[in-house]
Amino acid sequence: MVTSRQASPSVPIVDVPGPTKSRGPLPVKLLVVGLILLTVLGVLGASLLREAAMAGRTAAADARPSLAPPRPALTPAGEAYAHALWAIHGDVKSAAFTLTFSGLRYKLRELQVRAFETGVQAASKSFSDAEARVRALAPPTSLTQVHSQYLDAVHLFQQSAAEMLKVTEDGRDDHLLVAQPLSQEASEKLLRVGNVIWPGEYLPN
Amino acid sequence: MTKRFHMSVLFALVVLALSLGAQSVPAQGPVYSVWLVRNSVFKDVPAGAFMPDRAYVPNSTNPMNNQVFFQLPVNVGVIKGGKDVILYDTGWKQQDYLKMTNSVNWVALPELLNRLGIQAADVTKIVIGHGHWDHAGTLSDFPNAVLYVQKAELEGIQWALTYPNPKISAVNTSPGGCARTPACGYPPLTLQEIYGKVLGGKAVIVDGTMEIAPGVVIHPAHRAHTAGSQLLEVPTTIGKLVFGSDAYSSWEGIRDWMIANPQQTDTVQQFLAYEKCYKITGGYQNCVAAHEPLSYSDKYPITKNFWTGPNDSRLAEVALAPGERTRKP
Repeated sequence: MVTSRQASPSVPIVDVPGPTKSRGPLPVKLLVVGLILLTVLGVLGASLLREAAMAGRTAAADARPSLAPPRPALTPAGEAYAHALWAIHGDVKSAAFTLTFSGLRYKLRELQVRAFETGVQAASKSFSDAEARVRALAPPTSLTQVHSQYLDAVHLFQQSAAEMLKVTEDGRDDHLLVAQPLSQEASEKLLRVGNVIWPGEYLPN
Repeated sequence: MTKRFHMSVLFALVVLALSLGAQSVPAQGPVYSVWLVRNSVFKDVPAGAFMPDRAYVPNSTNPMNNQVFFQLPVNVGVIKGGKDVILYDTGWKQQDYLKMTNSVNWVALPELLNRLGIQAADVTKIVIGHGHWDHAGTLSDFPNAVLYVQKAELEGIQWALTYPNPKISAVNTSPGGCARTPACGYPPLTLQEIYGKVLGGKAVIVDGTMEIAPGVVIHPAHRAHTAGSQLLEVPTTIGKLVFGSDAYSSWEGIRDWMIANPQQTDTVQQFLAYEKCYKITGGYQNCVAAHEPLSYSDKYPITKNFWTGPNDSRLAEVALAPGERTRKP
């Protein structure tokens, strides 16, 4: 891009003064004009070759099918399970947000320790309630792995909350560092479950 | 006559040099090398959902309204200069979750950086245009990088999630989904990664404008897409660039003054963000868009120097600092 930009304005240099009376400068003029013409032609040729190569690559790439294979449909029992878990999932995510922002704002000194404790305790209770509700669900055989993965996620959140609450006992922020990877792993598990039973949960934003 | 001829050549060269200078407007002070890489493509997004003014009208011959879908790239900016390797946005990494978004051509950002000769551990700074999952999704892949996020973004997310009216605080899992509520687009995992950076002492909470490296300046664009959207000004040999993430979702939108990708967007603020690019760069050519469908083609000129990477991805060399070698094969 930069190269061709620099090359094209050199054309006006071709527009040299008219005939001269002496023969001395003529070879010099011819040499200069010839060199410029050669340069312009060279750049033009190289650009054309590059564009052709690029077009070829793009066309070849476009010809390749790139869509992911379609997701197999859930059975009616699977759909019912996904629907039931969806209702709980909203509360789990809400509690996860509370946990994250309690830690974040405490670390940024925007939250006093008591407010931090209140937030984490509320999230912890939500996770306990959610666990009981999830356990009450009966997943179809095809989704037992999803079910246990979801329970794992809720457990990890509970462990993370318990670790965070230790800050209120000894005032050491290190507990937050221990707790955060647990929440992160739990969050990833939520996405993995969603991939199986709630495709389209996150649309392009 | 010979002297006159030489003078003419000299004059022509001076004019040439001046005209080149006027076109490329080299920045004062340090300049940076810049690449743009495509992390994935969101397939078949309805045209009107992305740009309301370009909604599809059946049988229309107007090029503004005759397209049913857009194929939206997810672009990430890579900026290199001095001791810094800076990312503007980090795309997303949930390869296992591709099916959720009708996405194709996903490539892990560290792998794309490898194609530029950059290791994930080399990244020193990450500026996220906003906190949505598809722009701030791979923070933990860059352990040494310091994250720059607007204070208003964090406050906006928390405000939205705790708003008492459930129609406004709706998240993706709320009944009926969330469409364009202010809480939409922030999965727990993305927020966890931001939180992880804060806990690890690797985050700077920006409140407004901040110069993060010589000449590299964060500008707030609050509510231009989300509560705490931010732009990034970068000096290069082709003039200043301004990265806009989803405040600049569409480069054509900036050119034609049409809003794009309205999520948690105040359209006035989005226009003011467009204007910021015109003011900083002198036009619209150097505004870097996150989801411009014309990316990696001659129709979006700063991305036209591109090549194809793994999984049919795209990498574009936007500008090279003096002495920097090209990465284009």
